[in-house]
Amino acid sequence: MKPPKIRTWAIALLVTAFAVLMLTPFLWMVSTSLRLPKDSYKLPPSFLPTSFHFSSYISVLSGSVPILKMYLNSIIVTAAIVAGQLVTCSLAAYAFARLRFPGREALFIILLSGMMIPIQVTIIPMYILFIKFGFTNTLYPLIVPMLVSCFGIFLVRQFFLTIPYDFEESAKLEGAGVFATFIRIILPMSGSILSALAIISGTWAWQMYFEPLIYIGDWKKMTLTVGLVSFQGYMGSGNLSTVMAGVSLAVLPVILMFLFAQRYVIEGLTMTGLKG
Amino acid sequence: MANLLRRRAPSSEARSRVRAKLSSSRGREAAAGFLFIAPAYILYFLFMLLPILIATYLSLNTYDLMHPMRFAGIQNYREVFADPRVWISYANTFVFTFSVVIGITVFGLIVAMLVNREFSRITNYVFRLAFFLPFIIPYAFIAIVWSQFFNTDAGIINYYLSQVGLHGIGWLSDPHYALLSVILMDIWKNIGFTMVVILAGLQSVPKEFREAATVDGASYFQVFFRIILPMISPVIFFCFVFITIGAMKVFDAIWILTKGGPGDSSRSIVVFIYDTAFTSYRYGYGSAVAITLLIVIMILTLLQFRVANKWVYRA
Repeated sequence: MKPPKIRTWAIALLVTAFAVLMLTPFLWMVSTSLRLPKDSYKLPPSFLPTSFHFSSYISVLSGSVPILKMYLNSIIVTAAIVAGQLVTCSLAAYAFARLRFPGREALFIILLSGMMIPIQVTIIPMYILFIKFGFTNTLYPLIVPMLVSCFGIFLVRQFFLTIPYDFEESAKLEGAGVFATFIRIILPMSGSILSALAIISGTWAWQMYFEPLIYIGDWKKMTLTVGLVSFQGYMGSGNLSTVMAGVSLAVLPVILMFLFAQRYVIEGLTMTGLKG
Repeated sequence: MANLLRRRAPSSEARSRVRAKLSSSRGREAAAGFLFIAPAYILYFLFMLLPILIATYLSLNTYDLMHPMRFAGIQNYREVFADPRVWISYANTFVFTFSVVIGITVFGLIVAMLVNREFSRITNYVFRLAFFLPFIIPYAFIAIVWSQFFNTDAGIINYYLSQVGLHGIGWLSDPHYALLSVILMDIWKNIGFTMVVILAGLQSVPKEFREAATVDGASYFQVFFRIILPMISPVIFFCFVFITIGAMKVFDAIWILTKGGPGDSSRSIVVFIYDTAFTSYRYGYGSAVAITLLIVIMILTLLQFRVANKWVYRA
């Protein structure tokens, strides 16, 4: 008994209305960025671009605020964190899933409870130590503490637990050691969970705001998030379209990445939801 | 003389026993195990466990980075309990968390139920994209745009309100509305998350269950509450826990939109900690408040798992 066609259409309309609501701020952002600075506050607001002036984009990229440098900083931090987490988490997850060593269960539980620790507790002492060692205004405090993720270890271990033992047993029969088994057999099978982890930690690293706000004060060393917020404060209320141009540029790569990797992003997220 | 020498060196039997244990496959496996967890655990120890110990010690002192540390015992904790701003911040945080968890989960559920139809692939793709986009865009950028929407004089929302004859609201300037504005923005941002996760859960509910119930004469609401809801309860529980922990720690949204104001009306506990430690240079006091947050979050999470054991249906 299929639902009447009109009902499907009504629902489609409702969902479309919701979806438009979700996208409205982005549409406004892009439209405003394409306006001349003096028109940016003009009401009624336009959600579809009415003019196509790219001057704001040019002034953002060539202005005194180093937006491109901030981009680079964010990329460096994100890439380093993703690479680090992939390595540390997959190694640890394999050990907790498959290798037997004394204290394994206890060590795992201690690690897992780390997921509940808010960064606000650890950041005050870390900040003091980093200052004493002279690491403020560098990217190190943003990267090094984030090279491991308790959640990441949990996630990958869940996956490893589902791999049948046969593979490792046949490897053992052929005389492969633990490390060789890990590299040659387990890792190649783990593409899906590792990409999920990469996307989750990459998305998280890219949007970091609290940590860079605390450690970095120099324009040239800021990440994109902190930089653009400071940019907005610096520009005051005079230059809305320039600020919106900056934000549009920042948002664009995320949208592009999502368009290409949508399936993996959502799969990774639902994997944690259904199994966790 | 020869006897003394003999007693000191381990016998060749003992030596070969130890060697056997270390080079046995069990020994190798254990060694590999420790080696594998070493990078993660060293980092975990250095940057999570150790700082907690230091923070606890800090919380028992007065420290502003410029003058030497002065021991203060539980003075800081006494002040935490007596400080009205701490209570206000916690109250705001709980109100925020509660509103946001309900709002995000309910709306996400509604949208997931609506979308869980046989739309064509392209429509599904577009809908998912539209709803999920705000979730993965960094909060900082979203807050910048929303602060323009919430602007009292030139803001978008107030403009449309005035078009309909209502007068504008001081979304960010009125202490009665500041927290609400943050809540609205947060719900908008995170609906995509619950929608996607719940959708996956919905799609794993076998159609036969629903069809059998409908054939037996169950109404739509009965089907929903008696069959669908229990079957997706693990997913909903996951959403609850995930959103709760994030909401208790909310900072970016509030800091960029209102900085906690006006006054303390939208100050969350993390904003308060940031202010105390990094703006007022009270690192000891700030650590004390942070430790209370750690305890609160642990209690909340344990409570949620307790409740889950009772309410979550496990197939």
